[in-house]
Parts: sequence; structure tokens; C-alpha cells
Amino acid sequence: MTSALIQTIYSGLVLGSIYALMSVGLTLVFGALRVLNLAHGALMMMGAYVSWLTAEWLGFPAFLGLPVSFLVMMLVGFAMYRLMIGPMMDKPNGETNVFIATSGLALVAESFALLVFGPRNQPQPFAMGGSFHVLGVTVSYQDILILLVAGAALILMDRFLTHSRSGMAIRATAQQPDAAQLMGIRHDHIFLLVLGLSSGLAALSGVLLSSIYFIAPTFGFHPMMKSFIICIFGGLGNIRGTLYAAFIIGITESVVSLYLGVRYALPVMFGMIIIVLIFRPAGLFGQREVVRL
Amino acid sequence: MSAPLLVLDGVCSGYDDTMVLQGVSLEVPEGKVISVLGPNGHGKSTLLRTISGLLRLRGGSIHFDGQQIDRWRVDQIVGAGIVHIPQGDLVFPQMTVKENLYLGAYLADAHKRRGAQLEHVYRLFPRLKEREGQVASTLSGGERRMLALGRGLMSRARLLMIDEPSLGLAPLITEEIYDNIRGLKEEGYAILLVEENPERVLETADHIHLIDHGSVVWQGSARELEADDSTLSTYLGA
Repeated sequence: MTSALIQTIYSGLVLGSIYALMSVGLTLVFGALRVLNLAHGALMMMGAYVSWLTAEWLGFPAFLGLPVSFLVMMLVGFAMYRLMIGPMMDKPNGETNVFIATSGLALVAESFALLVFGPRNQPQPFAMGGSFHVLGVTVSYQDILILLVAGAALILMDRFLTHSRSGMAIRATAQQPDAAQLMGIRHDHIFLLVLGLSSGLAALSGVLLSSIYFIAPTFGFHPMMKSFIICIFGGLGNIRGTLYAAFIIGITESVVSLYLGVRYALPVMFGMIIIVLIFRPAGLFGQREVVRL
Repeated sequence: MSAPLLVLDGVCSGYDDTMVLQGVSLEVPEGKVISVLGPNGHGKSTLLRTISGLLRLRGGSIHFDGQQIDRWRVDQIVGAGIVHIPQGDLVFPQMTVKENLYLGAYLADAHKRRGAQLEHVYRLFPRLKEREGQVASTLSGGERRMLALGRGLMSRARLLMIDEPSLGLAPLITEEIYDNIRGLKEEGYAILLVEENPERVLETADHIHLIDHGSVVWQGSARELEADDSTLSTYLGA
């Protein structure tokens, strides 16, 4: 009984670290651009396939899948901003148009993946076999790898945002866009950088998540829905809050799956978010008004 | 005599389909404090937003230091030395005083000399040094105003455009801020000062423009304005 619970909480932590990666990417875009990127799940999916292609198709060692996927998807993020989001943001109703356009892009990307890779699930080559036991809990090497990669990426991201000149400019733009411009910060440069980083983080989370499940053309959709719940839970645009929320949701998902069954995980989460939003409209960790990076 | 630092000629500007400024002309010479007075909603902030490039010019021209700048991007205008200290301060609320100040020196040129510039700002505003590690949203109104001024000074400013420095402050604090502004004039900065309340600027401004419905309706020295009862009562209700 206890060991089952410990095992569950532990899997919740592993899941939570992946959710944190994908949600921070999503909340970063919302914080800086004030738009929701509905292609985030498709970017995760593409990232997972890039890693697969790197190993299976190009024949590179499997561990290269992760960095290659990060870099390739960062470029995809840049292109997405330059060709689609950027031009839309300058026009009236830009936010709504981006919302619709990104969900359209997600559909196109998913259909394209279905056409190229087929509906069959693929295993993620970026994975390690084997496990060991500790305190009655089975720990796989893959879980350790996930925790290390996610932890390192989140710490680097935090350092970047709090200490580098570009990271400060991103936070400034999120907190006070007009004042940021008056400091000489160019919105278009910041938005481009944010889309690139966010897509890179989506790729990392896509690779990691598919390593414990599988890769398929639409496998990014449900995680993206969870990501939205996490972002709202933590206060949209609030990075620290999003991190806490990711682990709360990851552990909740594991515990609910254990005691009630997997199919109740998403309904319970939506139930939680409805309750949180009734009593704390800015999210569990949100402050009263708009909370930014 | 050399040309004034900033020259506005027939500036028209506005939002979407509303024209707010209808041909404003004024000049800011080097080292002087020029004030723009007028009731709220008559284009004072729009004027500053147009000069700093946040709003597109619809007509007329803007020259700074002999160059036409009205097609430049905001970052180029800041880089040239025009600093806009916006109404309501717009400090970065979740960042510390020091982080706010460093962001004032964001552009490459200023970034290189930010250490020395920070010392300079701390000398002018010792209170900011005391509050260095404090998050901006927890500052008092007067301290926030000082932070907005200090942040503006972190870049290589030559012209400071200050939008309603007395807004929302107690009279005593306003007095302190105006002492600071006079100090900045002595430092050699040219200042374009926007206010709603004429009493504030009378002892500070070298020249005053009154704006009403988007155009300049009166201009002269502080002494001339004080002597002109009808102008004061018509436009400023004083």
C-alpha cells in the first residue's frame, strides 16, 4: 500500500518534470506575446519525430536526438514567428488570429506526420533500458535521464531569464511592454527569441514524453491540454507558479490513475481547475492582477 | 547660435481614426526646460509618444540634433539620446530596483558603461541605492517616480521627456521630485516637461506651451503666463 503510493508519487514527479518543460514553453509565449500558441502540442510531436529521424533515418547515435531536436525545433519556432505570428501581431485582432492560425498549423502538421510516418506508434530511440530498486520503488534509468534533462533545462532557463541581458529583456517585455520599448528593447526580436526557446522546450518535452510512451502523429494534443491546465493553475505567464503547478498536476495524475483509473485523470484535472478558478481566478499562484514572468 | 536640440514642426498624430495632435510646433534648446501644459486628454502624452516613436507621425516633421528622426524605430530614437519617462512610471513591477536600472542601460552603448552610470544615478538619487535590492512593486509612489527617472538616465540621454512627474504624489514628495528635475537641468540635460498643473512648472520651466484640443494655443515664459490671468483661467482653471 505505502510502497504503491510512493511509487505513484515518484512517477508523478517524473511526469511533472516533463509537464514543467512543456508548460514553461507555453507560458513564456503567453507572458511575452499575450497569445496562446495552440501549435505547442504539434511542436512537441515534431520534436519527438526529429529525434526519431536523427537516430533511425540518419543513423546518428540515439543520444544526439535530443540536442538535434532542440536546435531544429528552435529554427522551426523562429520560422513560425517570422512567417506567421509576427505579421499577424501587427494587425488588428492579432491575438485571435494567432489563436486560430496556430490551431490550423497544428492540424496541418499532424496530418502531414500521419501521411509521412503513418498511424503506427514509434518507439523513441532516445531511451535507456534497465532499472533498480530503492525503498520498494522501481526506478528506471530512463526516469533518471528524464529528471536530469528536465532539471538541467529548467535551471538553465531560469538562469537565462534572471541573469542574461536577453532574458531580462524578455521579462521586461512581459511585465511592461511599453516601458520595455522605451528602454530600446525591440519587441520583434524578443518575440522571435521567445518563440524559438518555447519551441525548443516543446521539442525537449516531446522527446522525453515519447520516451515513456511512444511517438504518434497526434500524441501532443492531450499533453497540450494538460499544459493549458497547468499554465492556468500556476497563473498564465507566471513561470514559478507554472513549475509548482506542473508537479502538482503530475502527481495528481499519477495518484488518480492509481486509485480511480487512467480515464479519470483528465476529468479530475478539469474539475480541479474549475474549482481553483472559482475561488482564485488568477490561478493558484497568481497574484491579483496580471502576473507576468 | 546653434539650432535647438529638438524641433517639432506641424506635428500631427493620433490613434486609429482619431487625430489627436493637429499641427504642434515647438523647440527644445540644449540645457533648457520646456514645458507643455494642458488639461487631460488634449494630447500631451500623445505628443511624447509620437516623439519617442511609439506612435507613427501622420504629418509634419521631428528633428533631433539636426537629423530627421520621425521615421526611426523606438530603439533608434532611444539610442540617439531621447529618453521618455512615461506617465505613471511603468517600472518593471516584479524586478528589483537595480534590475530596473540596468534595463535602462539595455542598448549596447549604454550597457558597456552601466557600472559607471549606475554610480551616477545613485549619486543623484541616494534613496535608490538604499532600495537597490527591493522589488519595484513594493516601493512608495515617490520612490517609484525616482526609479523611473533614474532608469531613464541609465541610457545615454541628452533629452529627457517627463510625463506628469507630479501625478498622484503628495505635495511634499512632488516638491522633492521637482528638486530632482531642477538638479537634472543643472547637470546639462535638456528637458521636455509635461504637466497638467501649471503651478508645478512655473519656477522650473524656461518656456511654456499651452496645448488645447491638440494644438498650441499660447506660449511664453513663466512670468508672462503668471501675468496673463485670462489665459490661466480659460485653459487651466487657475
